[in-house]
Amino acid sequence: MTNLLENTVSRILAALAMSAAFAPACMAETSAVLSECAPLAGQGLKLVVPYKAGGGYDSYARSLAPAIETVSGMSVTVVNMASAGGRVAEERVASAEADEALMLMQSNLNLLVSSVIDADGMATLTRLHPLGAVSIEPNVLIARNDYVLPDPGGSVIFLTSKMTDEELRLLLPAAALRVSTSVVSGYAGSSEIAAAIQRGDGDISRAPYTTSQRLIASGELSIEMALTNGPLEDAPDLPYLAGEGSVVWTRTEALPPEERDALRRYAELTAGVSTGYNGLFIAKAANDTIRLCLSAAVDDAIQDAGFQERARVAKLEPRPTSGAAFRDALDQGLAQLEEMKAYLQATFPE
Amino acid sequence: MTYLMGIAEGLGNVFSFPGILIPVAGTAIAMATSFLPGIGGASIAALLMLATLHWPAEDVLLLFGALTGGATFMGSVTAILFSIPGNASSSVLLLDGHPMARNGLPRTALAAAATASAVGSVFGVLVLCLLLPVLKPMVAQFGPLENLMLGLWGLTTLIAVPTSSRSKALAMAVLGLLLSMVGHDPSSGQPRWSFGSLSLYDGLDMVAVLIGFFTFSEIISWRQRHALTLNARVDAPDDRIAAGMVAVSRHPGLTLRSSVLGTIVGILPGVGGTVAGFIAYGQALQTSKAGPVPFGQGDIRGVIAPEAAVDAKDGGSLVPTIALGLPGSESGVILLTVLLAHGVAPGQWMLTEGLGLTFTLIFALLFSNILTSVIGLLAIPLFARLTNLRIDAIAAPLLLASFLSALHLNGMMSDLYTAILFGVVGYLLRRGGWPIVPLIISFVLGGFIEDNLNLATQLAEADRLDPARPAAWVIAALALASFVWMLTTKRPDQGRSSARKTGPMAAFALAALAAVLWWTVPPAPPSAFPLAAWVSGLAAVILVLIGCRDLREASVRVQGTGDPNRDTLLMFAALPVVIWAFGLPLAMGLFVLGWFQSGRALRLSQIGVAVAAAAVTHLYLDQFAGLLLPEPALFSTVGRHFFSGGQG
Repeated sequence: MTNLLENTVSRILAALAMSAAFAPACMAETSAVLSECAPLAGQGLKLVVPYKAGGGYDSYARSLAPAIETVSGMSVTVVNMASAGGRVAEERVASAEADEALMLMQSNLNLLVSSVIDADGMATLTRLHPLGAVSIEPNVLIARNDYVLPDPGGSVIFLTSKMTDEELRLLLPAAALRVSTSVVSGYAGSSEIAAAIQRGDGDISRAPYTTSQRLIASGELSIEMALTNGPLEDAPDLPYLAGEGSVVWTRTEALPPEERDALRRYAELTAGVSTGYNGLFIAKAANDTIRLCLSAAVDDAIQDAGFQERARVAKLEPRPTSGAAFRDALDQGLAQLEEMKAYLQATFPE
Repeated sequence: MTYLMGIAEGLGNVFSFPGILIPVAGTAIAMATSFLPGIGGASIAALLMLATLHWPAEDVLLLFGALTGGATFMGSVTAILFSIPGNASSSVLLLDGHPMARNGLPRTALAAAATASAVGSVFGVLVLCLLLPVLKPMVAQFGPLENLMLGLWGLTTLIAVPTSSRSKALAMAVLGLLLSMVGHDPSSGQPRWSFGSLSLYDGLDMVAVLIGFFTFSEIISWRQRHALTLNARVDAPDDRIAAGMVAVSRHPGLTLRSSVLGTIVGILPGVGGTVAGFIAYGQALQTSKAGPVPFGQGDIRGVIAPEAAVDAKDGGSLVPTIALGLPGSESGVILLTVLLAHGVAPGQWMLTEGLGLTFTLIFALLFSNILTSVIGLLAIPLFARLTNLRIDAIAAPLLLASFLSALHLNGMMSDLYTAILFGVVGYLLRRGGWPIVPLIISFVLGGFIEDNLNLATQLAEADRLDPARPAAWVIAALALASFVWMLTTKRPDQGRSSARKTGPMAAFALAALAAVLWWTVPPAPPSAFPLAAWVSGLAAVILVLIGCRDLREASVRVQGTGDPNRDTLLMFAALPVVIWAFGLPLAMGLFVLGWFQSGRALRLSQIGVAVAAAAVTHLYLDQFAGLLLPEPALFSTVGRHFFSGGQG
């Protein structure tokens, strides 16, 4: 009993201590600090999460913060700025002064889509410098267990949260699947959408793979398809959207070559822009000291075993991507979106 | 595992020693951090989630069940005593709870809230335990149409709000609906009435608006009602804890009805405690006979009903999380993440083999709710003494706490500006005799109604709306019945002439509602709902003007130089500019200085308080807050000028 009491008390104290450990650290081991960050040691860095506390981005940020502190010697504070779907936080970081240490955690998908939809979004994207990504998040389609995707020519009802028409057109795989789509939009979030699918309001919806694990945990829903170019690494048996052996590949086999190739290419583009990188960004206006330090620090921190373990225990799937690879992925995504727009405008001029 | 075995295991986990220390600690953490909005809640839960990743599943559920249960009542304490809602669910207590404290009955109000909280939570958990297996299919079937009917039912309770002018009440209700529509159109996602501001894309933050209407407008009015040198309040001779506790037992029907409503609303994913509280308040308005004090001015039933509902909601809200894996709130998301992180799958497993863990969670919630109420009751004498402090002693800390609360809601300065704006507006509306309650109720419910109307319309277009949904029509029938009953029942607080006026007003409201519904039948233009609200509001204002013998009755007046509130009002109105120019710490110090000064010589101690306010604000923002606020405009401009050789 005494041991139990001691264990319980020590667990509570440890929990409180671990909570305090996520607060800015006073000191860092100087031997662990990167040389690029020596001029900034002891200064504050704010890691901005554009959503409320408790979600996936927030968990990644809080798991990563100690690792960044260790390698940079800076004291990292996670700041939540939840407004306008993340646009306020994006704009704030993009507008940072040269000597202001601000870092944003955001999905490249959100930034890419915003950039294509309006000039303000593009202006924000061009003022952000990608540092690296903590995970790669493919998107999947979820549906009821008994749902079967209709054949070409059929129709589906797609449920989504509040999105503009432009976003929907760019992100829906409907054109690639050759089904007509009705959209019901305005649900508050993925949980409400999942309930709606169970209820029969709609047929399918799109969700990040990690989120889908939570939504299908009850056993009522399942993943219909991965919106990937090739099999999903974590679930190779799942149907996938594009590439050889994919759903679109099969559905377009009997079509004339030109039409077939165009649809397969469109499916590849859709898959390309359906894979999100949970990335880290700073303002392009940041001075060289900050850029060099944080580029090196992020590259190190995302590979840190401690960060990856903390993330995995929180049921996250860290898949680090270096700064250079992440920048390539962003450029590629932008080009793919433009190609998609052109295809849609040519195919559906209205 | 059988049901009884699950219950036994759950009780055993909670009431074992030393396991019981975990929910006690969770309750203490929740109570300590839920005083003020935005500061506790999900942030604390997220931190603890990461810190407890290696704990056994049952210990984690003990902690998080207690975190959920311990938060609600403490938010009510600040709502009742200081007109600052500690969480969104507590905001409904601003309507009658704070007026009770102002009338010298803080102990009675707090005791009634604590007792109703305990009763409501016990009821909610009992219902949960009894109905958990059969609730799953019911929950799954509750969709936008049912939510819409629920929201409309809540809106119909406006007709029962006591008011001297039904036309003004209708105008305020429509204004509330219009305010709820600021942000973006739910069907197209296009910005609406956001004036190009990204900060307004999500609309006006509800808690920020309520802080403004109640907390800040109250502070502005202090100068009129209380000279600074007097005690803040004089306790009424019958202000006793026992009176509050007994009051709950004297209204068993009301408490039970409210608990039922709260449980039902809690079961619905995404509806939330705020809606539960306001719907319960509305049904209390509708079903209660006139008391010694009207609703909205300190009727104890306006405390009992929402408090019972909000705490009953806690138990109900576990149902979608446990049964369907669908969290209906922020805390639900965290709870679900915690469950999954520990390999606990919601859904069928938690209703069968995992019943022990399920009941551990449920009983931890119940234990925490009751413990909070007990501690709350014991601490009432201490809490109540706070209201006897001199206003000049509590003004500065209260202002600081309110400002920081508004900032912490979403980490945005715009929320503080919103709260200040509605503080000024709220004060002016009160001065002009415009009723606030209809505005608040319609503001809270407006977004909920429009979102679900939008979804129901789209589902009807897509042929996915089954008209033969019993729940929707049951709620609609209840709403219609209560509406007709209120129309035909002459309330004792109304004179015959008022009863005659009710008919045309109600007919007008019905016609407007019918127009909205007709107009939004597919195909529905995105602007139909706000346009219909505008038309209704314009008509109501015209009726007010026509009905006023003295046009000054319909106008809002700010008195001349003799009004002691004028300086405070102007200071509040100027505050956003001062914050923008000088930053929050300096603005806080200047405001406190202005508050004390106001035409009199300053004492050195008061200057010290102002400096301390600025220093504390700066220290908090710099070291603890974790916020990203804009730089003061004046300093950044001056700094750039001086440190860039005048070229900045």
